[in-house]
Amino acid sequence: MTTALHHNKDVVARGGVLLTELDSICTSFLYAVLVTDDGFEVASVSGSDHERLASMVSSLQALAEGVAEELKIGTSEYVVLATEDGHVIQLRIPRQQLVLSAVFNKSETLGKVLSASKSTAEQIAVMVETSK
Amino acid sequence: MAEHVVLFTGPMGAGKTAAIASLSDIDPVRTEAANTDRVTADKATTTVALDYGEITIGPDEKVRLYGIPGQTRFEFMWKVLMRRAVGMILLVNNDNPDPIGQMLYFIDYFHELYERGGAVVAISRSDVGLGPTREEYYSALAAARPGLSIPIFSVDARSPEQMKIALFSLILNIESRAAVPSRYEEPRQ
Repeated sequence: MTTALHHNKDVVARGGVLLTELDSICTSFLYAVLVTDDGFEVASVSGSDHERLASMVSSLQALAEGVAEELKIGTSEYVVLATEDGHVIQLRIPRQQLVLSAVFNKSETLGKVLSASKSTAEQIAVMVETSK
Repeated sequence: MAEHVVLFTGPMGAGKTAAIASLSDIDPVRTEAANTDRVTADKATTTVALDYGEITIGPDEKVRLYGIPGQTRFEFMWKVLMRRAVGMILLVNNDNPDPIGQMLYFIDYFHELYERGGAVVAISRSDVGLGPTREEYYSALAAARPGLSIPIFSVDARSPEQMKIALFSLILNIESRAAVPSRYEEPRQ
């Protein structure tokens, strides 16, 4: 049986490093969490009560992918929650049963933070594929 | 068309997804993810947001069936799903480490649904292991929560016939309560 990713110390440590790098390239970054599909936190940066957020991320991702499937419009690429004060960007880690959710204020454009989040997601995918 | 919203509650692995699938006239909406917590329940997937199905039970009556994610980590979804429901089918797997404790926990958490319309308890997986008997569930419920009137069924959650008995019992209870003024209501002069 393979170790669940939230119990894999290598993935947890390197996931945290990649989230910190996302923080360093986006001045609007507030916090981020990397979770398993069933809502367990793998890594996080800043913020608090990640356990609750991890569960919410899991539910939201499942609902978004469920809607996309129901409408037969292809797979969900990302979810954006735009609020008065910021953005939540959520996207599946390519080829993995993992989801990245990152929260930003509005001091940068949505395009900038979405692009950075996509890049981080791709790096996480490669990291998981090369993990011990 | 009259519509009821019924919520399927209970712990992870009790059979909520299977029960909705066995009852629903439509392909159920599922939000399942790969289960990494095989200690709590040894199954490949787990519900992380909701299950949804529909059943038409008469020429002008439809029941919308919603299922909660069973793990307490998803408790925020429980509150969301409870808002529109008028009754509850509480599934408890008899091979749970503490099935009676789980029954009481979910009855207490979703007590609002009992008050609003009604509740039934459906004991699943009675054929696996040595769990309590139905009489022991009744006794425990009467001792811990005296005054509650909740029928308890043994079911195979995969059986449409058995789940329909539990569902129709709940609907009858909801409708009879709606037809009779509350005992707390002052009689009209």
